[in-house]
Amino acid sequence: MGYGLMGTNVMNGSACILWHGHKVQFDTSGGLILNDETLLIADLHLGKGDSLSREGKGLYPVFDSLDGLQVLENLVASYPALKRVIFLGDSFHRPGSAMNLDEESSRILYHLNSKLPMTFVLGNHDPFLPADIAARQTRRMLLDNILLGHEPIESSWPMICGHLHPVVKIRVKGRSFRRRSFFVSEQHLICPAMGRFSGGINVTDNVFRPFRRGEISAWLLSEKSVVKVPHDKWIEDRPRQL
Amino acid sequence: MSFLDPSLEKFFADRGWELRTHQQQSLNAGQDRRHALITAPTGSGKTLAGFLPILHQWVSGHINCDTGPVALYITPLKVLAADMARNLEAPCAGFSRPFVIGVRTGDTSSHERAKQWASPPALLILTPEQLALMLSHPRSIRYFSGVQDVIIDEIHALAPGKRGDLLALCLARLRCLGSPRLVGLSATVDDPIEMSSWMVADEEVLLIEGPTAALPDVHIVQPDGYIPWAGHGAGHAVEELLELIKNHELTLLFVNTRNHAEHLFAQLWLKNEQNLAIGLHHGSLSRTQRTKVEQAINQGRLQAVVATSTLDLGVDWGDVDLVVQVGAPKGSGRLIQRIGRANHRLEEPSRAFLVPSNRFEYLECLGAKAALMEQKSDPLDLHEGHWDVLCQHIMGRACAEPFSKDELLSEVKKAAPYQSIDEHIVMECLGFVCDGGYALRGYEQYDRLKEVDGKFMVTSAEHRRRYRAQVGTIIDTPMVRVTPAKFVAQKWRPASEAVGEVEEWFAASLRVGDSFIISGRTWAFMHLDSDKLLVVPASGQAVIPSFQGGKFPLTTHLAQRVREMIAEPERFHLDNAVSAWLDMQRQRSALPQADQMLVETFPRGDRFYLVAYPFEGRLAHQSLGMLLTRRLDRLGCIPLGFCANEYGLAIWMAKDAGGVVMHDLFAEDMLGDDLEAWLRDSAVAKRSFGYVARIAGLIGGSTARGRDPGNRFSPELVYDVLLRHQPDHVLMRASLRDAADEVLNLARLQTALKRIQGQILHKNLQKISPLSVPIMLEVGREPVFSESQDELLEQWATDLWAQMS
Repeated sequence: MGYGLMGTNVMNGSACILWHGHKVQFDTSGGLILNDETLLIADLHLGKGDSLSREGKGLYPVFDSLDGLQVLENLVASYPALKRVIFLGDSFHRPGSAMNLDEESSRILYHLNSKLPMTFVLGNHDPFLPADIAARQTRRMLLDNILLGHEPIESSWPMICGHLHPVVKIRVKGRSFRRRSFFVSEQHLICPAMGRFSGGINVTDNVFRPFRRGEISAWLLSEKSVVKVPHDKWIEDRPRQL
Repeated sequence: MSFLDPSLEKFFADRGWELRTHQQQSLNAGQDRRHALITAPTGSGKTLAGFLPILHQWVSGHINCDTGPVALYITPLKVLAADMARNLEAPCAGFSRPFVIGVRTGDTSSHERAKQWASPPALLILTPEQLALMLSHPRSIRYFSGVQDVIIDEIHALAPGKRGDLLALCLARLRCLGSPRLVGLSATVDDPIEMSSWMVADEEVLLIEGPTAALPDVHIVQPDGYIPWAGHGAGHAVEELLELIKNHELTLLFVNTRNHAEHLFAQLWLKNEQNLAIGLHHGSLSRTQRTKVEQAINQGRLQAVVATSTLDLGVDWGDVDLVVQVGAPKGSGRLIQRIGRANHRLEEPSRAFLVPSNRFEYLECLGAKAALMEQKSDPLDLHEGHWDVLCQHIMGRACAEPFSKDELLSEVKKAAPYQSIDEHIVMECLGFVCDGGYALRGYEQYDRLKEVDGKFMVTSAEHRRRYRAQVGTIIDTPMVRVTPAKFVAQKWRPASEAVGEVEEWFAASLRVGDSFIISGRTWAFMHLDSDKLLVVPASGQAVIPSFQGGKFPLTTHLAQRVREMIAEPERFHLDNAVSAWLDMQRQRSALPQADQMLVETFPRGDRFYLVAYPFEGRLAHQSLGMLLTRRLDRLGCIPLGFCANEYGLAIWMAKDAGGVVMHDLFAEDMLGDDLEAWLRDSAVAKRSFGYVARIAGLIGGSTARGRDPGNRFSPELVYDVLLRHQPDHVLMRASLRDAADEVLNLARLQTALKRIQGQILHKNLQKISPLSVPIMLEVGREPVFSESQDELLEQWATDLWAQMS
């Protein structure tokens, strides 16, 4: 089953597609809104700056968590029809990160949780969460016949997931742009990372190869809109991303 | 004349030498325990002059090296360290008490290092980075307390930039540990007083000048009086160059970039029918390749070498008898030194040839020649110390021993680049070193320093280890190795050693089959395998790598000379294509006075052009272009793009700017125009932040490795987040300063704007002017500088939609 563009929202720049009969909306922030009611967030990596400093890898600022959560707060505010938030794994950079959030970040998270029910799909960075997080935890789940999980896997259901941090690179007038993007294929829809200190893997990379079936495209996040980048416009990366 | 110890007396007598005046003055300065700066040309016994006092003191027997060395010798390059140790053997040979010399560089084995701590040599030769490393050791306090003399070689090369800041802080620390005398050795500098106050700001420095060398014999190569309009090659002069090479023992041909080096090398070999032995040497060649060339030079197997500045300090200049500068000299300082090194007898003139590759460069060469005749070097570019280097130093300082705020402040202020630094900045840097200095902090677990009883100390040995792994201010551009390959068993595999290196971004821009030149041969790109660029030999047309680096800006000093020449070409008796060109310019437009700036406006094709000639270097012109296009945009001229070179800039527009009041357009307040806002969002500031963050220790050495996507990210993302939450963080401010100084050259632009107030000569023309031709030829070759990346993206998206629907 293919997918078609339903339109773009001139107000907030988000793009809408019909995918397996569901309305899928890509927000410029990297959030995905499924059938107007469910907000999906992948790879938030809360507490990454903090973790890196703890591991002695430098003296990173901890504002990344606050920044990511403020984006989330704005998202929730701008889609009033939302009924739930589902995190697609790697929400915390370390299982213990949840306990080490700064006060402001904790407050936002607590406040959001009291407003909308949250579900944490567990990822490789957060294989378990502290018991006192009052939210549902799961490895995978089915919602409206769509499989939700962290890492993409083969299954008979269409799947929405994260883990790979897709970015797409294009060249415009001799200048190249490398931006976060959604990766869309027949069976898989891979969300970009929401974490502020998250790099990405080019959608041309081999790790995406198993999931390139049917019509494939990348949806690039620019400041003002989400732009569809057809497969033939993708550019490969340099070997190592610094 | 003071009494010289018999063993040294014998050293001089054996060679039939006499103590020269500057050597005597240096000895006296040593006896009076005064700091000294010795400026003298190569070949005048400058180094010996620097060493005589400590050697004399050593043989007189008043000092010993039981606890630590009596003298340090700081050299900018490790290859020079071993040479220096060898050269000192002769004068020390007759000593009754052995004067042991130790060399400590990045290549020194850990066994040797340990030995140097345990049984110190009398003299330790080391690089600034090694000094910083040693100073972070608690043992350094006793070890360096007895140092008598610190000799700093090539001080003019070490002082500018972040490396100089680090050295200045280390020197200040040494002066707190004991009471060493500092001795600077320098080639002729324009302002020795400024140079000496960089070395020691708070105490007197004796200035010692060596003999002056005979003036060089400088020629400008212009085959048949012709100089090309534009370009950067020397294709028009290849036959002359081959002739010169044939008639000399060893010719060094210096070019400005690695790209030009490859190009010239290829051109020379194309016409090298007599098979002259010509080699190539630049920073992109592999280490083994470079060593081979250096050995060939030292063994006299080469007749000529095409080189960039990497060769400057790397070889014995013993046999060099001709220096050729191909392309713009950019400044006179390096030229004076290079020519000086090729001169082996002080009293005989050395010969040098300058080969301009276009008409502006011809004027620049004339200016450089005049400067050489006056032995006028470029002013030093000294500035207030960088803050990221200070952060690094504070961490090193804490590794050595705990300190109080006051101790730190007084030590830091002893370093000249930091002598007038704001106290708050030092405290902010200290805050960053302690806990990151972020508003949202407060976890003690990862504090690097803690304060106990008013003293700051390192919290764990791990932090010490990490500091030591990251000392230094030189951040390498990621490179990939160019490796010849074979297709074996359905895979491209390396077939031999790497032939050179190219920047990673350049490698990334290649497509399979693309060809480029490196090591003088053409290669075709086949496959990229982690850090190897696999290639096969190719023939035919090649795209030459556009390497970065080597882009020195035109110095203000030479720019002034060029302006003077354009104002009154008659005074310089030009009789060639260049004088005809300037004559034509006078008839069709105008030649500006030396204190004026010419602006021309004219239509061409379906566009309107504005060309200005400030002569302030490419960087300053690029910044100016960015600011001018914003203003022209507001004036409704619809600027479409611009391009800048060393001499001027051209802006093209959809509307005529002939009616614009130029005095308003170039008004000084231009720099106020949301510059800061623009700068904060620019890629330039982000890139600077990447360097600042590494030097200051915010970011560890390798953060971006590994297959797990959750662990990969770039420092620019940290910049974005800090910009939102703590834009005034000390490292954010440090990176803005760096971007403004080093990338945008705003200080120079500001001075230039001040200079041209009321001095703008505007010519509204019907046709393109002769003076504008060189830059107009570059229009279209340079990428268009566009201000808003996202707008470009939006435009692309709109176009794409239009195509699809």
